[in-house]
Amino acid sequence: MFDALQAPPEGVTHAEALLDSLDACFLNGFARLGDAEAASLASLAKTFTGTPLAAPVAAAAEALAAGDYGITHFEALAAARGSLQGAIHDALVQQVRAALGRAAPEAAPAAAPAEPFPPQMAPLLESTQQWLMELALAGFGQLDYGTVVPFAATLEKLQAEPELTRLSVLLTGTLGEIAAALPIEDAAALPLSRWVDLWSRAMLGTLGAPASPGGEAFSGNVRILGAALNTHANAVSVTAWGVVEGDTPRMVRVSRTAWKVDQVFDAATWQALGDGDDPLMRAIGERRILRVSDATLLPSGDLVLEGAKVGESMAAFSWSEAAPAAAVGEALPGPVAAPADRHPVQIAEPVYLSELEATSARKGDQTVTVGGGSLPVAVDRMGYRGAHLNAALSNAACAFGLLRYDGGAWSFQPLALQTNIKGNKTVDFYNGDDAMASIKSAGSSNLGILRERASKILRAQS
Amino acid sequence: MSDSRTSIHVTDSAIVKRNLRSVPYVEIFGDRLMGVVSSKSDFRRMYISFVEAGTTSYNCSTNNNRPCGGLRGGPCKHIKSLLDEAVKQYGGERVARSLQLAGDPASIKRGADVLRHISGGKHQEKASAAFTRFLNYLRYVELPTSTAPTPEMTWFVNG
Repeated sequence: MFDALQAPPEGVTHAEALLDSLDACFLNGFARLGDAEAASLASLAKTFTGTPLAAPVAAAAEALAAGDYGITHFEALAAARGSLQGAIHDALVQQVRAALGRAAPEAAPAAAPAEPFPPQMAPLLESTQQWLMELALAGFGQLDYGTVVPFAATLEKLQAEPELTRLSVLLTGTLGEIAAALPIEDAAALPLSRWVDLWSRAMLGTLGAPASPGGEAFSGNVRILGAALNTHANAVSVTAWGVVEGDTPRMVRVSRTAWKVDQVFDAATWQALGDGDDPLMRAIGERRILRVSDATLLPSGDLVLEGAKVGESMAAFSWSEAAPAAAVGEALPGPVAAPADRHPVQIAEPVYLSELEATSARKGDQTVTVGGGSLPVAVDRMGYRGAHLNAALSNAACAFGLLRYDGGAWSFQPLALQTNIKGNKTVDFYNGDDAMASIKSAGSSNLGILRERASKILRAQS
Repeated sequence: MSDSRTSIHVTDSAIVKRNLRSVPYVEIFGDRLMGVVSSKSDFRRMYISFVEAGTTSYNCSTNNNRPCGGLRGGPCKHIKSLLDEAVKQYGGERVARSLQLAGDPASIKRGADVLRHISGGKHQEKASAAFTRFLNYLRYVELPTSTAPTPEMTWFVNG
């Protein structure tokens, strides 16, 4: 099965080469485009001939090469980049679903036009676009404090707008990462395509809120097979992957995102996400069934608990009985990226692997093997429990996790393992087994200290 | 950082847990290292301190802009505490690089090692910029959580 995932499908490499030549413009800066970069832009424009983006991308290529810098041209580049990433995403999803013996997802509906943000937010969004344009003009290789740091004032205001959470979480992580890289000593060492990703995503995020995806009312029981944590210095996001029982079991994602500070990290991030009575935290941390009524299930397979009645059952469920619903060959209708979010980084095909062989040799070198084919373990995505997982992996008999794609290659991100040591089977829920202990100590933790200060000092200021 | 074709990148982070009671906030931001040092007797009385990169100019004042009495002829004990905590939080190398200290960054193991490089003088300045950053730092722990999917977080894997 993994044999079919040793290389990306045809066409992906070509599209990635187009992205690379666009990214080179971002490294040098649009204010200093050379002939090679101008030619890259022209060739990008040619690729879009006959598509709805043809006119804006052609106009952008011509204007930017001529030194005419308007925000709309940078919006067009972000849209072009997003569209290429979307096409790569679709090709890769087809490849991975075929490899798992699953039907290709129905053709994604075209992304509905974004809904405009409320007019009072316009100044904030314009100032964000202005900053993004300045970064692009200067070029990532030439960034300095004067270009990067003043945006912090705008960002603080963005963070206060709950409607802009997706944008502000992204920009906060981006600003922090770029600021930490200053002064830039070696431009060639920058994570260039990542930074252009973040830039493009932010630019598209300023254009409007993703159109309301609709969704259906949902009531049912969710058995969470594993959870993933994503963090930067100022935010943490948990995504729990659960099976919903029924005639055809389906998979849903339940997520939550919280703000935090840099000194809340590793296990302490759970404290920011919820308290000890929180059903989602207990469902993840104690492996209880999550009982949900009146939630909304989005077409992307994301279950939104806002406004829902949520509880957890007293009894823990059997992971080893629930997890095979995600086995290779099971149809498993499940989460896909929303149309506007399609990007290879978002590919997360859930799978349960039985009869797994894992090697845990050197750090960063682990592979998992199923039926002869091997994939590397996505060590970069495993967060602070990565070391723990690596130790457990060599004793793993089966695992639940996500097939991921990045840097031209597929990998496996384990979320839970069942180890078998001398006939003693244990489920290792690697993100979450430590959650409840951490949450219980929240009061005396750094987060507790800061919450107490915040309640007194911020009140005194206002 | 060698493969420029990847979207996921584990950022260099040597962050170490520190106790936030006496120095609730330290940050390397822009061209300075700044932070807040609480008075031992009343945490509402705070000293705002910073050291500037390159020049190594520094200042310390209360949040009401009263100059710190300890700044006679050199950095005060608040700046020393700030530097100690900064080295804990960011590691000596990052502190040395950010402040553009001369010499081997690996030799910076505690605040006193940074102090030896401080040759700039007192640079009087209102404490408001650093204090605003601190208030925003505190605000993070009060912002509401979101139950909507946030695919943007997929890009961030550590911190």
